[in-house]
Amino acid sequence: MKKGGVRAAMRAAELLDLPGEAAPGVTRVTVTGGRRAFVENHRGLLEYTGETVVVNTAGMLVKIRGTGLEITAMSDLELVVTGSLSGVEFLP
Amino acid sequence: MSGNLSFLRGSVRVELNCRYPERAVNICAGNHVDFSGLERAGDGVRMDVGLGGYMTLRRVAEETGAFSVKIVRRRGAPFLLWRVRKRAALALGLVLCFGLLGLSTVFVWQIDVRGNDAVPSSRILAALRSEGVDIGTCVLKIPQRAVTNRLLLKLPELSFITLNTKGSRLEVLVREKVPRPELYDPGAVVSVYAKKPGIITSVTATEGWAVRRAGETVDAGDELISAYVPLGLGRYTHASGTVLARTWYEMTVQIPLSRLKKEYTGEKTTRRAIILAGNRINLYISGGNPYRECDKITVYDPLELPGGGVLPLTVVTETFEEYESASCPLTPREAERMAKARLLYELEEEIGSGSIVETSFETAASEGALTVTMRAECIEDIAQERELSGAERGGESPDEAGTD
Repeated sequence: MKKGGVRAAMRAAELLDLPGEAAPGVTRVTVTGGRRAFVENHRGLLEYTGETVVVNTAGMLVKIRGTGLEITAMSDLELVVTGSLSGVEFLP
Repeated sequence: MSGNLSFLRGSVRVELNCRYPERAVNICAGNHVDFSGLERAGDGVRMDVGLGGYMTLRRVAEETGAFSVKIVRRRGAPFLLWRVRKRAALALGLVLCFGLLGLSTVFVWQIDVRGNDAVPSSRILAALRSEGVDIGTCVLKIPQRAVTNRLLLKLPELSFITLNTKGSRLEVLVREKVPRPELYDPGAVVSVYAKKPGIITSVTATEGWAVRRAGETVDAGDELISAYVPLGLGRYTHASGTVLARTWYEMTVQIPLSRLKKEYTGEKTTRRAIILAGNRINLYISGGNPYRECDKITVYDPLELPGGGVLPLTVVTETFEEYESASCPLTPREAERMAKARLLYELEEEIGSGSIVETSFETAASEGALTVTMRAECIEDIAQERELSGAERGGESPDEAGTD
């Protein structure tokens, strides 16, 4: 889904008082115990080092910071980053 | 498990070199190439991919020219087979070995019997054998329900039996029947008699009429507590009680004043054999005992896999140790000690829960042997119940006697 489409879907979900997850193509970032970040609906990797992983998503960039970061698994829609996470930033 | 699967499928560790390694990773994800163990390596990245993924990467690299692919390491069964492709016999042997190993798991190579105490395992195994279940039987051909039902009929001492197959191991789990206790029949007409001669020290009649008193001498078979109770109109009952009496025993044992003793010469012979699927194959030529007098120690060593899996192979090691029998003299003191111990053991077996009051021993040596005679006085319960026949009760039934 394109950037505009995702925004429209999010707005529609808000208007209908539905949870954001109901909108298709919306980026979801799940952080588990500061050791694992699961990014859904990504659009590719922009930067990958042991300290920083920048993931492109619909409408923003997700920057995951930490030490010893590794990409454990990756498919065209999902991505798992493990390591000692220190922060997750959302860049416009 | 996943590691084994990965080994069977084969994997390649590749290094992708390009100006922007992230782009190579995105291409991998976009082309559905599963990877693991991603790490930065200089200007590129290294990752483990499957054989299919490697082929896809090669194709994409050629088509786009975005990155170059270099193999760092190959791992897995496909590469191993590729290496041995020219050694057909070895490859065939490997395939045959794994095939036979897989095939062998459908046969019983070990039978374990558990839960039996009174019924010997050999009897259960023999019954199983008669039902066609033995070492080498195909697990899939064992009609478990029918076999267990027939085994219960053949072995009435068992109340439950089940067959559990764990790979090549057949576990026979049994439960034995609890023996039926002797029931007290209050309607039976029973008197108490002396089972041994002695002098009564006490009579405790819990039922019936005591016809003997303390201090009286009785012979074996004498009535002690009568089933007939002469109270009122008189009635027959099930007499019971305890009659303690002094009893005397005289026992004799003869111990030779010499005994044979083994003196090992140090000569040893070891033979090996294998038992393959229940068939013994000797790994030696000449059988029989190698020495005139020898001890034979047999050790069975079944081969097992590290995980507990059983192989149909048992290594048998037989060790023969030669000895010479030498006559060793026994001192009269030692012989007397041995004789006394044996006599006391036999007496304790004879009197059961009774107690020994006094013992005296008399020894006599004759013709290379020592004869020891023990005289003992004991106190024991000599009561023994016996049901009265119709003639003994004068043709009366207990009901008739009670209602008269």
